[in-house]
Amino acid sequence: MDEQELRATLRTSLERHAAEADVTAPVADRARGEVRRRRRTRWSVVGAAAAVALAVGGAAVATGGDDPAQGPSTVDEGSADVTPTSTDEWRTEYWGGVAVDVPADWGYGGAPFDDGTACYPEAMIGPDGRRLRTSGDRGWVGRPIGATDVCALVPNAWEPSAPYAWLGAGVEPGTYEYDNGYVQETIEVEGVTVTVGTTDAGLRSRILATARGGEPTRCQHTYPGVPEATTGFFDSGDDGPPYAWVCAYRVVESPNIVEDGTFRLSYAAKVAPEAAADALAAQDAAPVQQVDCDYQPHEFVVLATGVPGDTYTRTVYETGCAGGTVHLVGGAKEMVAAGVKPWAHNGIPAVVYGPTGGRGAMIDSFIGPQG
Amino acid sequence: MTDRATAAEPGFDAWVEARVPALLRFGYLVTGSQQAAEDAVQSALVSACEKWSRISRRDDPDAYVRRMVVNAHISAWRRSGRRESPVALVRDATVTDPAQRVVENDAVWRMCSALPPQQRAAVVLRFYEDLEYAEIATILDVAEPTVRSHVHRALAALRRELDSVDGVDSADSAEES
Repeated sequence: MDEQELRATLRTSLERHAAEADVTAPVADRARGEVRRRRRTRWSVVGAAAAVALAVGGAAVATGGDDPAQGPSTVDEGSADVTPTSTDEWRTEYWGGVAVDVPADWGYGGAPFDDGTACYPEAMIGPDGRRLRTSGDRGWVGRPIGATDVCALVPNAWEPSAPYAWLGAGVEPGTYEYDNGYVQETIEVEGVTVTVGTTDAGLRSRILATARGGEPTRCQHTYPGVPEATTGFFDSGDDGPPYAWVCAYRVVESPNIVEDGTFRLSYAAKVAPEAAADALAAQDAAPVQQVDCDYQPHEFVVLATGVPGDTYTRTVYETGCAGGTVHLVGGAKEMVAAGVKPWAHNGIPAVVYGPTGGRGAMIDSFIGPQG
Repeated sequence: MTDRATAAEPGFDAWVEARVPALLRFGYLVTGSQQAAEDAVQSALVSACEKWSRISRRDDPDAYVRRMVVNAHISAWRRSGRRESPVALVRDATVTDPAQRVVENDAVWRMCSALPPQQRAAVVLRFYEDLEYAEIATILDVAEPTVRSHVHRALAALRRELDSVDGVDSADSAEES
């Protein structure tokens, strides 16, 4: 059978199989019903989004992150006019190109996907990245990532018991009042939903007012695919202290994002440059990765390090490939616990799926098989 | 609370009625089952309806919705944590044209079932929807060489399937003679 015959066989066979489909299935009616149900039961829309967006003001300039073509941007932590005054009590969380400031003692949990399911809608991980025995009344930052298989349908079959901020959750802009007094308000900033739920109206307004786009970090906002490890020299002559950022990316599936399939920033945080150096040294000494993964990557982590005015390096951790593969400039290495632990804390164990590392060496570093 | 339940967006109903049969056939080929096809198409239509004012302004809403069908399937596939198993081999010892057709159909389905979702979608878009590589790349949001690689690998896999069946048939014939 030559190439043409092979292609013809494939075409003909696909047509035959396509004819097996039942095209009378009422999927259009079901879809309309689902849209009506979503709109009816969930949210009442108010004009808060525009008001809060106006209140933000002082938006920073978008950056090229660690893209060597543009060169890393300057970190400017004080650029947002509305940043809470005490940096000891607040921290910044990132999702896509949006940054939000939250109380520093809040932990990490889940936020609703587009179907309203949230796994897990309470603080599951502490602010330092340790798993919590009990959530208590600790506030939390939630992302639409399945951190566990313990889920709730929000808001229909769930009531909050602690304040929260959701980034990129599948909720419509507007407000929702729970019977227990919690008020949830959602705004949209640069296409990303930011939701805050609390009984404290002042706290809610304060957090929402910090939601902003274009926050300068060392993390690029998106990648079209898993990037290559790279190193280079800064174009500009700016100098400054060494830096290290951990930047997590994942493919976000949401009707709110038309250009689906792109890897978007799901988490970003500064790391002590010394700790990052330790991680990179450990990875450099790790065994060469022998497995060439043939799979559809869903997420990865970039460790962006450098010295402004001198050199920068992008190291890529592919957590879903063969027990973890780390792409260094010199080649791919097996991911090892000592190459992960220096940066896999704070929100990472609630945001990134990863291997257990054999004998549990990395079990606290990532979302595991059972959350 | 304000009740925002309304009819579907203007223009959506007419478009969806015209396109559902084709989308279900496409979904069936991409997912490999009626149930999964209905789920993927329904999910895509919900997304399309909610964003119809934006999608309908695009040159080709079909491409967007096909993409959503593929993405819905990939998402479900990931959540389930399972991969489709190749279907059981169905062969007829008698080598007649209908039997050969069954063998070929089976080989194609088995090959498709073994492909990752995106690769399978590339094959369906190329050989069922007859799209150009560039169009497929746009729908799948991958580079054109990636699409070519997907298709090339699929054809190679199909050739192996067919060669394997031929080999088994030849061996059976030799045993019987």
